[in-house]
Amino acid sequence: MRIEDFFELLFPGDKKLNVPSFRDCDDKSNVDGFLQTIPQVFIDELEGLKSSGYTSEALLKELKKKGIDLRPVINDVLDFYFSRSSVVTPLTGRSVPLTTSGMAKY
Amino acid sequence: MTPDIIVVGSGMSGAPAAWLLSERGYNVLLIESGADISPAELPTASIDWERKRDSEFNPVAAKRKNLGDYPVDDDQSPIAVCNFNAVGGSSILYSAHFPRFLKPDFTLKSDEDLAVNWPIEYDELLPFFEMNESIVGLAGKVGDTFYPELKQVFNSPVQLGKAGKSLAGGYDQLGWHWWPSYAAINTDQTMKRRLKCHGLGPCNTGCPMGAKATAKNTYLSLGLEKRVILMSEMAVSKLLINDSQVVGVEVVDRDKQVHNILCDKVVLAAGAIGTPRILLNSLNDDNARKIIRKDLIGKNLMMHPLGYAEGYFVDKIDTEKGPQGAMLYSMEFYRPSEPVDFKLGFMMHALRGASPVDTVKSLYGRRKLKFGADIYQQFSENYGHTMGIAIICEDLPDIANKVELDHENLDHLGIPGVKVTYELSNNSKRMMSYGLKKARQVLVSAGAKKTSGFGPIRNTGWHLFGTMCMGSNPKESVVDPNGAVHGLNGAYVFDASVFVTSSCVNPANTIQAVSLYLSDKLDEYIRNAH
Repeated sequence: MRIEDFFELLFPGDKKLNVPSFRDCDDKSNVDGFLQTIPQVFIDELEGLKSSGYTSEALLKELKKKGIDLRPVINDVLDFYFSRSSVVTPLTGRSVPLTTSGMAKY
Repeated sequence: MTPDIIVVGSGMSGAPAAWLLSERGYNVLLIESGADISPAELPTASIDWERKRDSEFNPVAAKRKNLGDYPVDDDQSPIAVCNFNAVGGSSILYSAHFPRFLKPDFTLKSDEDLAVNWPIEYDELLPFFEMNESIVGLAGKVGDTFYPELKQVFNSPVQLGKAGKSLAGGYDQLGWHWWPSYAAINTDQTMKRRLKCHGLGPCNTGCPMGAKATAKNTYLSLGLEKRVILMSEMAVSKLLINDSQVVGVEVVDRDKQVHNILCDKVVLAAGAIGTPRILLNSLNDDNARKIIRKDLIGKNLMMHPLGYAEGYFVDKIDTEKGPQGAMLYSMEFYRPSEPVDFKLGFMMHALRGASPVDTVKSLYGRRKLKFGADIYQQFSENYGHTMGIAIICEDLPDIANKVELDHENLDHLGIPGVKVTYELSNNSKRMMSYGLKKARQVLVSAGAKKTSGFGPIRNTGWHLFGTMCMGSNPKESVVDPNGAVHGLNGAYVFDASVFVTSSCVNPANTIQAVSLYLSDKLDEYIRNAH
């Protein structure tokens, strides 16, 4: 399985909410730039798995069974995906950068 | 310009000192190891603000490697050292919660037979609290019974919002004390040079609007119009000493060039970690051995152990908006009225909710995050639905808690880093455990469906005190009640390292008031000497 397919499974997007999937959450160059930060050892482990047919839960279980510490990669991708304006703005109603979101009402 | 006085560090204590001394007519050279960061460079002005918070704007000193940083080994402490080295210092990233220390905090020995009394009385500091609050434009409401001496504010309180109103209701139901936060935030734009607060939320990643008062946009801004000269990205490595007189400082620039700057009065204001580092590094010089209690430099480090209780609310309470660390506080347990198994007490400091990344990372950390199509619904059910209460515990001095030079870990300029040793006291453990129960109780009373509590939280060592203790007796303290180092003429310490007790409230207001007070004393001393 390719690393981008793994992340696509974790973050498939939501058409109703207008939230893009991982692959479309930013310009291709930014997404590719992020993918290049993933440790090669993790990419190698993924490549040993079949390319489709998993649910996200089953895939994570499979990786855990192989003794892989998922936390650093998952934390990094959560950082990346949930800081994209294409994801955050439809989910929160606030602009990114925050300084462009105007006076907050609370 | 030949400086009359050198001030080392441009943060909470250095900038007020530089301003007041320049107001009194002195030429002040303010030296800062960090860079001068523009508002546009602050995290919330960019897309990746939450990632920046984990890298160059990370408050955890050991995890950051900016130009002005030095190695901090805090592996021997359950609480990580948090600070920020830049023009404006840690005030760039603080929450701007701005209460004063309370009057009884200065007399623990005589009132409760604990630690020592301060050699400064609260009433002596009072005019300097008032001066400070007028310069930062204190927001809040007069009338808290815990602060009967506070007579004036300059901005309306930060709005409570839905979350604050719920929480206040929870406190009212239990009959417990609460009060709207005192904050150094320009809620009404009373302070004309700064913008009004937009309620963006994460004040502790820096405020690009300038609504939050920092040392930079208040004192430094005023001082630069007077007689303050700022040198940033210059690290003071040690004091230069001749016999028992300070004659200047050694500084290293970003190109590793060493310079000596001569001056017979040097004010150290680099914080409770940075100041002892400079003085300890000066001890290689035989002359510095005249400091009477050099063995106490770096000792008695105090922090505020912090516990965190979180409440989850079914209805959205909008905690993603508004200053994250300024809503309301409670002093109900400043000194608990019921019998408890610990001494002293704590403040309950209400905090708004988590940011987008923090929301999902918190769920992931608790193994609750559902990946795949469900993640979006789960996000919406949690974002803006949580609020927290920090339990800020009063710490006591302990000689075993300390800052030492770490000669194994040098900074990029070749100056030794520091090693921090700190153990959480049993008193703090008991206090925190009790405090977390009480915090969860009030969250339930406010309508929380679920609560959790944990502590001490590691990355919360913002409030650092006590490594250069102040006292009248030169045999028992490092500096005198005027901030002058016992036995070393011309060396002064004006920051939180002189504090002999820690209170249980956020210290920024008191750090600045103490710095102003000591600067006034230095002016008085110089005038009398002439």
